[in-house]
Amino acid sequence: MNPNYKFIDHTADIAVEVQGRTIEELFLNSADAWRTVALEKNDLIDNVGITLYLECETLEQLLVSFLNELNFLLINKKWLTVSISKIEIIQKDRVTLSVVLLGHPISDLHSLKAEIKSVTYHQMSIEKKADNYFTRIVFDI
Amino acid sequence: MIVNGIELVKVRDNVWEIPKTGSMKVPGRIYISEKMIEKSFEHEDSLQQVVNVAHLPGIEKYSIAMPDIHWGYGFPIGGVAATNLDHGVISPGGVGYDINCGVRLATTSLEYNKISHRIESLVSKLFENIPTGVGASGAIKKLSNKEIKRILQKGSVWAVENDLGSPNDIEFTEEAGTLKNADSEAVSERALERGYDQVGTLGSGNHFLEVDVVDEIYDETTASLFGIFKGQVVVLIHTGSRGLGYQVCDDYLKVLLSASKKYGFTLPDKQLACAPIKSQEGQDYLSAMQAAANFAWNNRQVIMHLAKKAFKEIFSMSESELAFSLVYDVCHNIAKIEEHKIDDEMKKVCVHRKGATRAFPPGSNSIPVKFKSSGQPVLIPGDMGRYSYIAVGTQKAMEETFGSSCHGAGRSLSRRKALTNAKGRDLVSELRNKGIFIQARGYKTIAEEMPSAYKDVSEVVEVLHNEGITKKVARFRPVGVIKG
Repeated sequence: MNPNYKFIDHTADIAVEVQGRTIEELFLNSADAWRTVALEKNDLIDNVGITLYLECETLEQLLVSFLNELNFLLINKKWLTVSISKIEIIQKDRVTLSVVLLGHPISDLHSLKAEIKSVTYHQMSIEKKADNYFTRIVFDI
Repeated sequence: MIVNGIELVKVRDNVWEIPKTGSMKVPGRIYISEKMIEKSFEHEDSLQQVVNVAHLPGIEKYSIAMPDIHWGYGFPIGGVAATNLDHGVISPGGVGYDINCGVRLATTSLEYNKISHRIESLVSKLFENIPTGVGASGAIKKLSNKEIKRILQKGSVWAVENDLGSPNDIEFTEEAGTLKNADSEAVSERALERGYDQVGTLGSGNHFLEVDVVDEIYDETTASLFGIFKGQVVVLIHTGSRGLGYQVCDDYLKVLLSASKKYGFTLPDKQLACAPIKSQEGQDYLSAMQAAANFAWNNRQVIMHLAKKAFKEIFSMSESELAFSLVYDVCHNIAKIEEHKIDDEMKKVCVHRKGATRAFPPGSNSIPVKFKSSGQPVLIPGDMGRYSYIAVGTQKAMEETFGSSCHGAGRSLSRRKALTNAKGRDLVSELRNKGIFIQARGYKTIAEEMPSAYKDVSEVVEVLHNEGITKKVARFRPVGVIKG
């Protein structure tokens, strides 16, 4: 398992603490945690790319939107994100994310481990401590 | 006593208060026994969530929690808060992603001791008829945008108009299965897309369809009024608004996060994002949330129809022989505009029930005429290995809890701990040895939802019975379960 995130006990849902040396790395590690929650096993086929662009008011909203987008693609578009490249986050008046999601279409959802209803804002706060960025994410299951 | 750094002051045997401190606008009130306190809050943040909810602008009387309280997001699960209609807020954190998650109970003419040998086949047929699991779809034909919007406006009336239910079903659904102020135009295209093929699907997690047998009757008169008798086979259905509801909540959280900033609210948790009820943002969320609630009622209605079909096939019975009949359908994740007596004055409030069930008393104008003498049926499912209950609402609930009760057992173990405890065990066989047949998409769900992952629902129900918030009518025990 990726050492940059750690699952913690949450009574009803699934909570994880994630870290990254940069904001981009924090987002990538969060996506990795999402995959661990949602998928039975890792997939290696990442020969199709989808470009994603998101714009939000805050970094927390951007992270929630990003992970919910991965979830929507998986459950509703049956498109599995296996890896992520060319991630860029720009923070100005608003924050933007552009990213290429690499993966492939899937025929059914049988290999899914859990239905994530949504990524929540509960206890989410992206903070920099020493050299790393940290956040907690609670997935509503 | 101090629990997780929070002071709990005993009010009565089963009622505890968190005194108003700091910027709390009201105190907290928790309905729970001393015995349950010891077990309920270990590694848990739910008491802090009761405190957080007490910060909502315009909250009236108390931030309330039921004995099935456990850690959620925003509100605790089992949380109730009423906010003043004129100067209070509405918050999606008090409703949840699964808008109008709820339960319905149907009775049959079947006696368990005469059909017990057929339960396994019945469970298989139910599992075949009702899509379960992650992203479950295809229970009925994929619907057009126009048709989904009709469901959002009409709720379970849509199912009845499409031969998926009877007028009787509408009468015995909370709000007659339709919140009239719903606005399908307030629902995003993405939310509609997530609903196209999910009508009549159970989903995953803690959602289920259970075949139960009536195991104990506490109030013969009321049980008889509800058409319930000892040894009878009944059906409990627990699910909600599926992907459509999740998307509505997600869409409006963004809107209300901006609104919270705009109106200058300082909130202890972003998930409590809110807007004044009468603001444009608040009204838009209310309209969309009501539309999603209508989708959920229709969903449970269609599932009940599919379940009835399975029963008819397995037992080769006609409609009248089977007498598959809806007792009541209640929601437990919702915000509703209601009138309640506060400081000797009738006030309009927005009652948020997050994992809490409406429990209106005898004589209420908001419940079916049939229940005027008994009070509203309150459905309290437990875990899949022990019991579920039906109770009725009381006047005391109106006086103390804004006419609200608990919604289930409440989790006591995290999913991770449940999985650890399930290691090396064959839960399917364990349940079968107790006479409970289960089918699920995956073993992981069964492990996460194992009986010991939940509090004992009997303890939860007893607290509210002893406090007079609800009164027990009957107890059911599961004999067949389908899950995601």
